[in-house]
Amino acid sequence: MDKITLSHDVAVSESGFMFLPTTGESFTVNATGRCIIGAIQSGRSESETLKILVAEFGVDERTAERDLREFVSQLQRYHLAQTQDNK
Amino acid sequence: MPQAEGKLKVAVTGLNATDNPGPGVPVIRSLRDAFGDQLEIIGLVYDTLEPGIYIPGLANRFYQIPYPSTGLDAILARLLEIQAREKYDVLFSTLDTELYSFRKLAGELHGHGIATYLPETEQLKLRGKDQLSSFCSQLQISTPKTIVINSPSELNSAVNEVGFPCVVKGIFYDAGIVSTIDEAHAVMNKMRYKWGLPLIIQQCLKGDEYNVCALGDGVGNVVGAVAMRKLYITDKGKGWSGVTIFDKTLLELTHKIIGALRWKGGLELEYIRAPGQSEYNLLEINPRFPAWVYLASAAGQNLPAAMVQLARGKKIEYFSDYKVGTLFVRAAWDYISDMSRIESLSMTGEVNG
Repeated sequence: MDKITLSHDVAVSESGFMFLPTTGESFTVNATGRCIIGAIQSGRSESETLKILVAEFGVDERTAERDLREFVSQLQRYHLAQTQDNK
Repeated sequence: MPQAEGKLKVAVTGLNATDNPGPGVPVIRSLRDAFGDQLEIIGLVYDTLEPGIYIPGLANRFYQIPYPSTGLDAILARLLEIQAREKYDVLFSTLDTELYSFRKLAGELHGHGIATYLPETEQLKLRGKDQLSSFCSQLQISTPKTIVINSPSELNSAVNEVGFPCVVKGIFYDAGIVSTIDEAHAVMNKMRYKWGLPLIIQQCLKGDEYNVCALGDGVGNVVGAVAMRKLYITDKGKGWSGVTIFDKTLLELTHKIIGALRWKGGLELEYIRAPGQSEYNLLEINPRFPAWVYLASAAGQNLPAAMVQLARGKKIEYFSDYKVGTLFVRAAWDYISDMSRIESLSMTGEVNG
């Protein structure tokens, strides 16, 4: 997976509330989402993020990978994150 | 000209804080925030049941004034009668329907020590709902397809060209979304009896609604501007809650429009944007502050107070920033009063605050 970064203007609170100031839209994310966003914010790689998910939520790596990809896809759909080509 | 001694006195209209609210109440709230104890408010009302009359502490006194349709002479006579009693410094007009009258009277009012800060008649015409298409075309701003009809016989061809669903709008206020020709005729008849002709037939676009509240200085500059996204919209299309946002495009459009119009006074720009699209479509340019203007004040741009200072000839610093994420939620709240207030206003044309 390419490197993921959050949109520069999105505001994320510790509770998992996200506010996009350019459109006024707000979003809530669950504990898994918060964990992934925290990993993105701290610049973790995909494999590091997967390890964190496996350790935090007791799921196998395949499930964690599926959830991560789906969540990132949602973030992109709502213009909350973008991917950067690592090549 | 302000009084040499004593408090600043501002007369404000538009206290009809109904489900289709006028901006008078939030304008007064903004002015009280800015001027505190050094301010007296004179509420100018058209109807004895304008809710602002019953909000404790909103104004120091209320006076009934004649409707704009009564004619300039009657309006001027009443404003000067109140001036003789109150010696107010500024007349703060907040309603579309009265702007043309007050604009025409501005010179005379100034001669009697009453300052105003109003757009010129030509500016008012240029931003009219019936001029929106050509105005947007000149500035290359997107706007829904709009046709102006000057007689009922033009309705069928207009809606055929615009397509269903479409919006039938009065020249000043009111709008109804229609999906059939029968609905279109029903809404047209309602509108033309209430507001007269022409009527506007506008393409109905789906999307999120964004508004900008701004103040222009009359020479093309933006004194301040705050953008808001409506979060909850009533069945009358009124924003009942909203949040301040920052979108460079919206603010650039504001500068473009105010610059082109050389707008003087308060202004509201209404846009719609389809989900996932970056382009804003301009729906309307309202020639006065919106009913949500207090959100702008709360976010750091007290535009009504700035306008009062400009009306008084004071130099002010133009705004450059505001707090994004400031939220407003309107609430219904019942005030309890007594028939003696209605009696006083009905019998004498005035009542204390």
